[in-house]
Amino acid sequence: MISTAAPNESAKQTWSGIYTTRARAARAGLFVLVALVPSVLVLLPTLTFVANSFFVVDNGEIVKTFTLSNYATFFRDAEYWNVFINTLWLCFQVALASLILAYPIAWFIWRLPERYRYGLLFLIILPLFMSYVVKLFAIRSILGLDGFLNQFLVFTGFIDRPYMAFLFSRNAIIAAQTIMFLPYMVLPIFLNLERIPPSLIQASSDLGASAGTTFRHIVLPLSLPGVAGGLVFVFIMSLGDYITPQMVGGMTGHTFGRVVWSQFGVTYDWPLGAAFGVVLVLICTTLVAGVGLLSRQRRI
Amino acid sequence: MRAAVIADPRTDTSRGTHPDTGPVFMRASSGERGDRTGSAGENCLLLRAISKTYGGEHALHPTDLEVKNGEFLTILGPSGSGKTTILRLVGGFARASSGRIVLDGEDITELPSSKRPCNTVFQDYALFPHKTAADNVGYGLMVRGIPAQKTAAKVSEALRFVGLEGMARKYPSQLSGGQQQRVALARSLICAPRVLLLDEPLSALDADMRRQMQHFLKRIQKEIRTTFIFVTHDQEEAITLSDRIAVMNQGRLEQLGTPSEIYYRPATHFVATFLGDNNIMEATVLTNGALSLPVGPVERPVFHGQGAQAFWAAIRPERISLPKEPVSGSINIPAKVVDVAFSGALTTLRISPIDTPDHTFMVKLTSCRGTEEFTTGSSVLAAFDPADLSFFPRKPS
Repeated sequence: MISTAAPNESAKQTWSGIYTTRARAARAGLFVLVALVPSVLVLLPTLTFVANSFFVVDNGEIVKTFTLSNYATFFRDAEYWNVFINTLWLCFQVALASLILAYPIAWFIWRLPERYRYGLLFLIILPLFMSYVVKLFAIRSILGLDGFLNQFLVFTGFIDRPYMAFLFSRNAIIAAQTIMFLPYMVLPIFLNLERIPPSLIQASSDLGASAGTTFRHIVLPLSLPGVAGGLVFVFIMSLGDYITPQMVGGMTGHTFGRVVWSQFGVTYDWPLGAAFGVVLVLICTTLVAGVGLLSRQRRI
Repeated sequence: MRAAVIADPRTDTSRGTHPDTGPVFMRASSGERGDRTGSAGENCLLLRAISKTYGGEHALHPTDLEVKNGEFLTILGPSGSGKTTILRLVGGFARASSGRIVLDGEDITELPSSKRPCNTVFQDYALFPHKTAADNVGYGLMVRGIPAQKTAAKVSEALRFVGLEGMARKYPSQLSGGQQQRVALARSLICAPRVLLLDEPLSALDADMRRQMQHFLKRIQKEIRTTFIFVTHDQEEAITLSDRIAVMNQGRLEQLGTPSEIYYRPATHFVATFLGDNNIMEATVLTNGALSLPVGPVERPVFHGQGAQAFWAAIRPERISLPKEPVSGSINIPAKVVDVAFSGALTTLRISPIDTPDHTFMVKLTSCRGTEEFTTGSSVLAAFDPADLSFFPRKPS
C-alpha cells in the first residue's frame, strides 16, 4: 500500500484520491531520482574534498586527524598569498577585457536585422563547440614566434623581427583567456539585451531622447544583469583555469590554479590542494551570491 | 459668430493646450516643445495618401485622414486592419512607404520620433522598470535638459493630475495595471504633446478597471483639450469615448464619422456589422425609383450611397418594435418568434417573417412588463420606420 493519506481520508478514498496519492508518490520518487544524481556525483565528492582539506600529509600518507594547518599555511605563507591576490587581479583583468570586447559585439548583433542576427550569434558561439586544447593551440600559433601576429607586424613594418613576448607571459594569459571566454561574455549580454522590450526603446525616443541618451539611460542599465552574469562567468572560468596559464603563461604567469594543480600532480599534498580548492570555491560562491543580491536590489 | 462658437465646448478657442492654460505641468517654458498652439476645430494633423507596405503586402493602403484640433479620434478595427500602423507612422516608429504626414502645417514625415511633437501611450505602457514612477514621468523633461528642480515640481504636479500622489517613489513592478497606465499617461502628457497617441492602452486591464480608465481618459481629455488618437478594437469603447471614429478594415479606411453617424449610417457592409448588431437585407432599386426589400417595398428611401444600383439595407435591432396594431408609415411585418434571450435590461428576440421565413430579424427590446409575453412560436407584428434604414452599396450579384 503506497497510500500516505491519513486513515480517515484513506477510508473514503475515491478514484481521484488514489490518483492524487499516486501522483504525489510518483512526483516524490522522481524528485529523489533527479536529486540523487547530482548529490552522488557532485555533492559527495565535493564534501570528501572539504573533509580532506582538514587532514594532513605525513610521509606521503594522508593522516585523518582534524587540523586547520592547511588553511593556516595559505594565510601565513606570503608566497601563496601573493600568487592568490595576483591571480584574482589577473582574472579581473580578463573579465574586464572580455567585457570591453564583448559588449560592442553583443550590442551590434542585437541591433542587426533578425535574419542576420542569429547567424552571427552562431558564429560567435561556434568556438564553444570546439575542444579547449585545440583552441589553445590555435591561439598559441597566432601569438607564437612565427605566428600570425608576429608575421603581420613584421609585414606591416611595426617591428623588424619577430618578437617573442606575445607568448609565455602574464599578458599572454590575459589575451588567450579573453579570446577563449569571449562567447561566455557575449551570450549573457546579448540575451539580456534581447529581453528589453522594443517598446521601451521606442518610448525613450518618443519622449525625445537621442539614441545615445536612450543607450545611457535605458539600454545600459537594463543590460547590467547580463554584464554581471558575463563577468562572473568569465571570472570564475579564468580562476579555475590552470591549463591556459601552463601553456602560455611562462615564468611570469604563475597562477593560483597552477599552484592547486601542482599540489595534486607534483607534490602530492592533496589536503593542502584541497584547502586551496575550498578557498577558490568560497570566493566563487561569494561572488555569485553578491551579484545575485545586487541585481535583486536594483530590481532588474 | 464668436459667441455661437463658444456655446459648444468642443470648439471653445479660449482653452486648448495653450501654454498659459491647462494644467500647470503641461505649460511650456521657452525652449520646450509645447509652445505651439492651435485653435480648436481646425485641422491639426493631416495624413495625405499615407501608405505602408511590408514586403509587398499593404499593411495600409494609401489613406487620407484629417484630425481636428482637440478632438478625441478613435481608430477602430479588427487586428490586422492597419489601425496600429497609422499610429506607428504618426509616432515615427515606422517609415511611410508613400504619402505625407503634416502636423500644424509642418511636414513631419521624415522626422525621427524623438523630434515629433507627439507622444505615445504604449499598449504595454513601456514604463522603464528600473526607474521610479517619478523618474518615468520626468524622463521627457530630463532628456531635454530641464533643470532637476523644475522637473521635480512638474512631475509631482503631473502625478497629482493622474491621481498618483504618494506613488512617486514606487517602481512600476509595485504598481497595479491601472496605476501603471496612469504613470504612462502622465509621462506622455508632461511633454505637452500636440497629439497624444494611445495604442490600445486599456486592453490589458480587467473590465472594471477598464471602464474606470475610460471615464478617466475622457475626463482628462476634456480638461486638457489635447488631440487624442486612440486605437482600439473594442467598438463599445470607441463609441463611448470618441468625438469621431475612423473605422479600418484590411488596411483601408472604411468610414470616418461621429459615433452616431458610424452606428446609424454605416457606409459599408463591414461597418454595419462590425459595430453592434444589425439586420441586413438585400435591396434593389425598382424602375419607379422605389426600393424593394425582401420584406416589402419602401416608397421613398433615404439614400446615402449615390449612384449605385444595388444596395444593402440595414435596420438596428433596437429600432424594430413589436406593436399590437400595425403602425402607419412603418413597415409592418407579421412574424413568428424563433427564440427569446433575456439578458437583464434587454430582451433579444429572433423573429422570422411569415412571408419570408429565411430572413430572420434580431429585435432588442427594453425588458418591461409585457416583454415576457413573447415566447418561442408566438405570433408577433414587427414594425420599423423606413427612415431608420441605412443603405450602403452592394456589389451586384
